[in-house]
Amino acid sequence: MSAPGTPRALVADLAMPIALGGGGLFVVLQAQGIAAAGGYSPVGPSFFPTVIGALMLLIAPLLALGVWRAHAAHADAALQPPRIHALGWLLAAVAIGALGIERVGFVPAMTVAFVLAAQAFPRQSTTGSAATKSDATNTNGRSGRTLLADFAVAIPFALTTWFLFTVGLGLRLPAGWLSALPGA
Amino acid sequence: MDSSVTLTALHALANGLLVAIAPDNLLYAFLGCLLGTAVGVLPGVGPAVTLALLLPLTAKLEPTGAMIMFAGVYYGAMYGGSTTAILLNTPGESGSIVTSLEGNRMARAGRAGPALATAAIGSFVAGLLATAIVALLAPWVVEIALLFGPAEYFALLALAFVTVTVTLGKDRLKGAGALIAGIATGLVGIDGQTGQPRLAMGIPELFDGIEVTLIAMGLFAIGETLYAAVHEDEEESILQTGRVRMTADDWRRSWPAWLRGTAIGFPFGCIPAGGVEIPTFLSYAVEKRLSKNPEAFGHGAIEGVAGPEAANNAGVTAALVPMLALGLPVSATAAMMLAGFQQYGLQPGPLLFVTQPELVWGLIASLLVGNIVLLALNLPLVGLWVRLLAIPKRWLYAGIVVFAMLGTYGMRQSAFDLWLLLGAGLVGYGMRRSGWPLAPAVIGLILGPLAEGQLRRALAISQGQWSGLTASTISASLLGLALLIALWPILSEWFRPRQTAL
Repeated sequence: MSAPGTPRALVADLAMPIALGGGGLFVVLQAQGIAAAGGYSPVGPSFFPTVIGALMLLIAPLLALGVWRAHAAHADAALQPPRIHALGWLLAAVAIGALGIERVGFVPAMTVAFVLAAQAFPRQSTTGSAATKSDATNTNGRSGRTLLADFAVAIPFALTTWFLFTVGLGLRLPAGWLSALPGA
Repeated sequence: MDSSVTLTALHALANGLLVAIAPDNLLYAFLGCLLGTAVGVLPGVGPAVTLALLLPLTAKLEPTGAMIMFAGVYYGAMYGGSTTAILLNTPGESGSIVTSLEGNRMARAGRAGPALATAAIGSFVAGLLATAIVALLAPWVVEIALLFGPAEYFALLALAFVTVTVTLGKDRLKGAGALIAGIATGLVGIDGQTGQPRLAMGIPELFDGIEVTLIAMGLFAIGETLYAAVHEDEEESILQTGRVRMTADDWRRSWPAWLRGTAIGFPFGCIPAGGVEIPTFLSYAVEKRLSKNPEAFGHGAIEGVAGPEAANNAGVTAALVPMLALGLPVSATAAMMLAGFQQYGLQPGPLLFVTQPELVWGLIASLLVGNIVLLALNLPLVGLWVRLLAIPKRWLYAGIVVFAMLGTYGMRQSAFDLWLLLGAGLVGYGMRRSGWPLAPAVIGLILGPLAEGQLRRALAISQGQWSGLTASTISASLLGLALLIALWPILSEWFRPRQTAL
């Protein structure tokens, strides 16, 4: 979809300079809100953030210029088409972890997170071609089996990790649903 | 200077060794090596990430045991990184790029076993020698470090910032962007000197600042997973190791390369932000030049694995000198070790040797023991690590994601931190995609607050006079050197005939 050299790729490549510039603006503005501490030192709590924010604002346009030039120079750098939907699966995995860990406990949340993260990667295709596109809509037998296999790995993995770290190493991880089990 | 310093050091080291070989401590070393290798061998997981992922493991142990286990993890992680470089051609950190050049060639020629063996023994030899030199050198460096006041420290940190930007990564501007962004992240939280919250937007979870390990896991582990999922193809892996043992000829060609690699790697590691890229490439070049048949290079020459691998390990171990004596991490791996020390309540710096000598020498002794345990463990287990690589990628990376969340949550039991992890992961993906180096960001995050604190302390001492920063010869020359290195690209442009512009 977004082949390198296209406007979309340019926007994607500009994301980092823009983020840096935006961050710089945020840091500088926030720094102005920090009350200056009394005293003879010229360097209060707002000085360093102001300098750092200013540097970010200075470097960001230079980086953007570099991106612009690179795009102008070789608009057809060969990258393989990125599987951008993979980003969604992985972000969902971490989000589920963040939402679930204290609500349902470590093991259920991490089991689901594991399975979601696994969906970001292509299935081991034995036939070679088939399983590349439309992962979400594909509901035939093979993808069902893969999902089952993902759960079959995820559940013991989450359980073992939980036991190892809580019982073995004394780390506090929410038991959640596990606390309903006898003896847990 | 007098020899009593050296004698005291040796005495302290002997005491440390006695502590390290206690049965339970040996067990921790063994466990650390095992887990460090197991995680470090996973593709895309370099030594720095392995340390970050396994840091929570050691959280509940008492400091000595924790540090010994940590040393084991560290050596395991280093060795695991070389294993993936050799078998999969995916170096986890810049230090093993050169290893993969000849190592992967050897593996493709069915000689993965000897390649892994020469890497293991080479790392062992280099680690042993380098740790011994650290033990002898550190006390002297401490004596110099004790002359440092806030102004000198600030100058040294400024120099470290400049060298990090210049040496880590190919593009200086991107390195500077990563460093500054890291420093900015380090500003979040309560200001230590006035108690005022900064950049926290009133969110109470941010008042304590953002954990270095969280950022490291986000940038490295989550960022790498995102990148691999979006951009990478299935790569073919080499799963048969062939004969594991080195032949007599392999030994004959390896041992001089190990020693030369150590000699090249150590001095670079001592320089703030000397890095391991230059010495590993240098070692490769030296081995190629000295070889009787240089045409073998590029087709799996064992010297090309033995030398750089030793240089890498010597350099990383030597980085302990500036780290322990000055509190300056000079690589991402060293930065994670520093984060570990801070977790155990240790603030590295010259005073550490004075106030807690038994811990410092305990650490150095643990490194020696960890090194030996690693060799004993890994030569027989090479086959097992190879089989670990057969795990399907989807489960491997899913496991890494879960582990990163576990490590993040385990630090302070905060679900909020997992959202930060998500954000850091996205930033890490963006950085990787745009070719920004990751290590300067982590180093900026660690050193930024130190630099600000020293700057403000120095200015308080000089009663607000900026000239106080350059009042001493040490600080003036360090700042001058930093300025020179920073401006070098511009200066060299001026003094050289213009070449074809890109």
